[in-house]
Amino acid sequence: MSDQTCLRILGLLDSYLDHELSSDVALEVANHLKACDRCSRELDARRVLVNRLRGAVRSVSAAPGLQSAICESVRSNLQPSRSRFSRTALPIAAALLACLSAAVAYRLGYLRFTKSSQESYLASISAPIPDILRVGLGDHVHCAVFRAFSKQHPTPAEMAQDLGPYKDLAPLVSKSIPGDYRLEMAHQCRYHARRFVHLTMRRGFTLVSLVISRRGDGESFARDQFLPALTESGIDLYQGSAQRFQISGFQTHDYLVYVVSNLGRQDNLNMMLALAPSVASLLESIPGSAS
Amino acid sequence: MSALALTGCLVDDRISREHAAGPRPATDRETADRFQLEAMPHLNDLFRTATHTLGDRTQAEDVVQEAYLQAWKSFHRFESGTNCRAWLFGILFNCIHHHRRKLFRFPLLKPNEEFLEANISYTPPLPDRLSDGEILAALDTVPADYRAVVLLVDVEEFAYKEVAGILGVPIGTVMSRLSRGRKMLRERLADVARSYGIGEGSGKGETA
Repeated sequence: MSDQTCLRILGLLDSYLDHELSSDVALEVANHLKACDRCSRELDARRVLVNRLRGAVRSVSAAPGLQSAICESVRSNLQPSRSRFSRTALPIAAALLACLSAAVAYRLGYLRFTKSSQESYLASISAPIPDILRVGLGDHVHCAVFRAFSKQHPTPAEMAQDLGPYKDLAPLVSKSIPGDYRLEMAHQCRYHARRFVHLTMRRGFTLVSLVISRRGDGESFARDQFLPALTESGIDLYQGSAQRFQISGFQTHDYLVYVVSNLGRQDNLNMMLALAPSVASLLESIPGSAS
Repeated sequence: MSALALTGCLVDDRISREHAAGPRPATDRETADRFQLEAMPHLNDLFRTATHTLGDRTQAEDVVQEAYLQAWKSFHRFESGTNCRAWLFGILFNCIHHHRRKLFRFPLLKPNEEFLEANISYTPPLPDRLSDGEILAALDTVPADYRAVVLLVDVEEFAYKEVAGILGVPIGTVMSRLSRGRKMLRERLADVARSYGIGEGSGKGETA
């Protein structure tokens, strides 16, 4: 038997011992072992070692206390899968569900301001401004801010119908406002027993109202000792602000006209400037129709 | 599941667990029974392997307990009918690995240390007069990574492929560590025997 063959067989002996060789290689080793005393003795020696080792190690067994300790710790950790789930996924699911229910409740109107809280909100923000400005602010907050419009905006024909005698206002406003604003709503409305013509324009989160109401007896910006902020095109513009709202106003012989928005002061005035001349002349042309 | 039930879990895990113990004890009891039936019988095997891999009974107890707890926690991922014993040993060596890193922070064997033609030599036969204690003492002198493979193959009788899975190493590494580990063990035992005057004359083992 050549040393080369023995070397090769020796390299396979451990795997042979562990039955890890493919059948043809195992057969080759077995044939060699039959013929080679030295390799055969080596295999026996390795087998004896494995058997002795197995016996020696297996004589060790765990202390009886260990099993009960493990059972105890397992018992105190009942619900293995669910506890992990409840620690991570459940709070997330609950949070999502809460958001969802809040959104649904909002859509259904449950989370909106009630009428009385709306009134007290309006009273608190408008306390520092003159009464004459509150007229425009009140209608804007009541009608445009708190009453969410439906996603479906009225068509020009519907607006014209709602506006009645003021139907020419809608196309006029559309033409006068900057191009990135769109006219969302134009109608006649009533707030605190007062009638308004109300048009709203939107650009993103910016909401602008043009509010027109008939002048009552003695109602006048000037009479409120309220100085004009700007005089252009022969129109006295008055300006005030209440928290995030800017209010610009002017008066004609029969009407009070307001632009109310959450724009900056100057932008709100500019919007009024863009609208005032044409709105004023249109109102002059309407015979005393607003009651 | 209703929003109320969900928030209930959020608000007080303990209450919900107690609650769960009420209406659905059968499932938990069943799982616990299955765990008892499938996992617990291997306790001794795991313990002796841990003891000889770590060389310390107390540490082994801690590690085995930790391994069983981890096994229980992920028992829902264990597929019934597959090899539970190999699965448990995999978890055990994961724990041993973390435990050793925590204790010693010693670097594990570099791959090039393992390419040794350890098994292609003859070593002296094992004298019968050696006691179990001497064999175990010699085993403890074999480096841990080799010792683990020897224990898994020779004592726990896992196939090479299973050992590779348990230790997370390639099968070639299993084979080389096994041959090297067995050879070291035999050499240590031959040294012991020689110190007793046993097997004198058989020499240091002839090389083919």
